[in-house]
Amino acid sequence: MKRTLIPTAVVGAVAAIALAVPGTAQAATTTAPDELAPRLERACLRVPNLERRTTNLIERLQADATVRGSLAWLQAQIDRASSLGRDDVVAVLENRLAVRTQTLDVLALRQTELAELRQFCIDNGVTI
Amino acid sequence: MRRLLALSVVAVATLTGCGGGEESGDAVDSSPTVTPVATSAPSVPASTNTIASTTVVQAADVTAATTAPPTGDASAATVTPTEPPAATPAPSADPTPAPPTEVPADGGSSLTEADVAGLEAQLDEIDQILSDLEADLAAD
Repeated sequence: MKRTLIPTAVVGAVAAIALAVPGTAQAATTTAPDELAPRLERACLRVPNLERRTTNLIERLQADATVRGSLAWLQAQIDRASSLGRDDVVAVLENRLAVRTQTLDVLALRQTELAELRQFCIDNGVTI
Repeated sequence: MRRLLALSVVAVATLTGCGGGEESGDAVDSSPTVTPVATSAPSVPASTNTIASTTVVQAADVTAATTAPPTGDASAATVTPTEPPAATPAPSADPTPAPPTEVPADGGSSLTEADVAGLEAQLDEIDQILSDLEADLAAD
């Protein structure tokens, strides 16, 4: 009797602990592996479009002064406003040029990153 | 033996919260009720612990992946000498951490939630940068 009750009590205590911590059982509910592949595919299908947009924006920023929004175009606008004595406009445009120049660097980095993401997708079986 | 049984019953009742406020003497009398609790032990599969621990690791990975360094837009904006209202802060030059580059040997079976979440987060961030710039260019 004594021998059987002691293990019973221990098992009961263990069961009680397990029941008292429901979070451990709920924590097991994560994305099923079957759902990861479609998610990955959906995400990977975004890569080509983002690559295209990044390339287009880089080309636009690097274009000559005839292309609206390019760095050269902004500089031309600054020169023009400066020649007209529009100091307030010059300040705004110079600020915009500084920000856009930084953005160009960021785009170059993101372009490299997108190439890595593309390779990651390919390595995981997604053809894009 | 009775004391031991009583103690175990009290422990069970306390941990499960079913017996809150009851006297220990009652627990001794209700000792037969221990049996169902004890028999429920096998219903807790040993694999539960494994799954739970794995999930904890994945959750940490997700957090790490989704807590990529902030874009730092604010710091980039402060670089600008003056602060005209029309200025748009430049996105951060710091690249987002690359996704896990571990190539599964079996063609993707080792893909984790954190991998996909990290990829999605990076794509969202790039998308946001491009959208901001496109809007900025449209305003020229």
